[in-house]
Amino acid sequence: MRRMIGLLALLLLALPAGGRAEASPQGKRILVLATSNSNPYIGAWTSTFARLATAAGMQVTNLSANYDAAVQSQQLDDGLAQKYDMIVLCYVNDQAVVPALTRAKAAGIPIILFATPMEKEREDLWTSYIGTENADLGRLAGEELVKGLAAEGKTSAKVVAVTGSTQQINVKARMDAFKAVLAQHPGIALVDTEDGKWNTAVSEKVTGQLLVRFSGQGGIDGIFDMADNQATGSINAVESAGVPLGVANKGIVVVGSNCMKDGIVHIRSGEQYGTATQIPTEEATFAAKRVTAYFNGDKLKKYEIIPVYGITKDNVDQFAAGCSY
Amino acid sequence: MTELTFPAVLRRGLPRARYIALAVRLAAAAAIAIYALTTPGFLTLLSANALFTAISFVGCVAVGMTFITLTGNIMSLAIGATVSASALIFLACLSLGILPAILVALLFGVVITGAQGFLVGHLRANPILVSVAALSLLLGGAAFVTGGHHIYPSGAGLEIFKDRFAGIPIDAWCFFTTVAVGQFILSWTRIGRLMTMVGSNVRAATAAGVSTTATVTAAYVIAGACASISGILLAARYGSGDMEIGVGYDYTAIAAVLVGGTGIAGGSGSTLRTLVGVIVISVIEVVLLLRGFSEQLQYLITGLLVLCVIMLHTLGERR
Repeated sequence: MRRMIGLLALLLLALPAGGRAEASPQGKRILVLATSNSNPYIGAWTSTFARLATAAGMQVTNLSANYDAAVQSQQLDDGLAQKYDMIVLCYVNDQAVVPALTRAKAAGIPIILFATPMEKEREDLWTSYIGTENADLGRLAGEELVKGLAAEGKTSAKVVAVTGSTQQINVKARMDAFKAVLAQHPGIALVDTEDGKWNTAVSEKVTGQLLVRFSGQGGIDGIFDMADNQATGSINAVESAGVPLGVANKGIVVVGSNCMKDGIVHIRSGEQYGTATQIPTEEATFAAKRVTAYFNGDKLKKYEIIPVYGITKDNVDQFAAGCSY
Repeated sequence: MTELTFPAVLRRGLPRARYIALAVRLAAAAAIAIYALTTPGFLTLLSANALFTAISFVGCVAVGMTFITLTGNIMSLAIGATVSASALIFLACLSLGILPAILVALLFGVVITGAQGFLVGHLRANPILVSVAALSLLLGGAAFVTGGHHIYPSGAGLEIFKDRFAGIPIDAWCFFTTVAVGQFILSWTRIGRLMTMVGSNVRAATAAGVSTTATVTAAYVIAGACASISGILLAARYGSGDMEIGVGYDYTAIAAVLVGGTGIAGGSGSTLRTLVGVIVISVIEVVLLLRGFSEQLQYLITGLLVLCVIMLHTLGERR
């Protein structure tokens, strides 16, 4: 009986202490689950977030699934079992994480998505998406491509898109926005879309064959590569084929939609017309601030969107450092 | 009685099955060739150049994978990561000069993959499990060292890799050279013949006094060197590297090895067959793209055709 009273007393003492801890990020345990920390974008994001969240007093555990959806589901379940205060997630497969996210919701553990949001119908499974609006990236790429073609005096043109992995939601969002821009310019036709799998070598291969395919039909005027490393592949293919490249040569106009150091170099040299900001260190800094604010009592919006900006030769110096991660 | 006669019937039937398989294989090759040759744009210098460059990177990996498969160890799942890591090491060491950077990257691939070969050959460890462990070590180690960041060249001299010789890209020459050297090793050297012997029957080879440790390790060493060559070519072509640059190369390479006709159980195969496998897969992909098939159909048709070719080979190899 005495032991029972002692336990109750301990419980009563612990309750207000727990209540105080809720309103502070100090000591909060955060589990960061990433697709792969070997990916430069994801690696830069997770390391920046871990550094800033740790500096704010949180304990961060960062795990990588190496693109294995089953491994990530297991990691999610382990995180739930260990009762983390928050799970920050970049999912491998949106279908595979649904059961674990459903359990997280039941357990009351907030889920923060980064890099890619989920379909609207699953909004109830996560707390907030913190990142860039993929549609904006596609829109900026479309606008830059139109401007580049206009700089060559072209109002009618054939363009192709070399995308990231086509089954991903962010790829679809970017393509839809890109197509919406082209729809406002009836002379500019998107004649083919091919999967470059976010990979430089695959993008070079695909671009090389697209150049062959359309060579008998007047050639290609513009290429939308979804990432700057893919643009590097396309630029190599165009140069290998001996086809004029860049506005200065009245050649093929290449645009990207998330900046990397390669893209900055190519924009400066005139081989690439433009790209857009999707800077992981900035996104992670913003995410760390919002998570800290959340634990200080702020409410997170469903979509915590970071504005994106187009990058061309005119403003490349402004973004060069941020894009060189 | 039935038990005694059925295998005899099967034995009589199989040679016919082999001829049928061979005939179907030739017919399939002819069909692919005709389909390719009648594809607008396929027979152009532009297309050939794009094809040559595209097959070079994965082709080098496939040549190396042939040695692993030939010795009866199926494949290494760490080869793609070895390609990536070699690319990073090459770029990071460029400040030492182009030749030292190449040598350091090659040494890395040889040591990392050779160590797997030693474990497989000496301890008879499961090759897939060993490669999974090596993959984790490579990914973890690279993430620790690079922090997941891109690596850019620390020196100059990459331009030579973008040259052409006799109109053919340097990358393609490197690939063809690895095929030729690989075939020379398999056909004309003792260690090459021992690899085939170990792959055919490891117990018989051991009983005959063959050192399986040395033979399997040598096969993995060659595979590691080939993976590093691929990594160096990739890094030189694109002027940057990360641990994702070689993702998927292990699977594409083993597909090319099997499509070429190297037996998955080991004991038979050649790098020339792998060259054919790499070309067949690439030609199918290119032709589908040139003919304007949708992405979904490209994946579906390529997958089905690769599966059919492997099944035909399996049927043809049965005794």
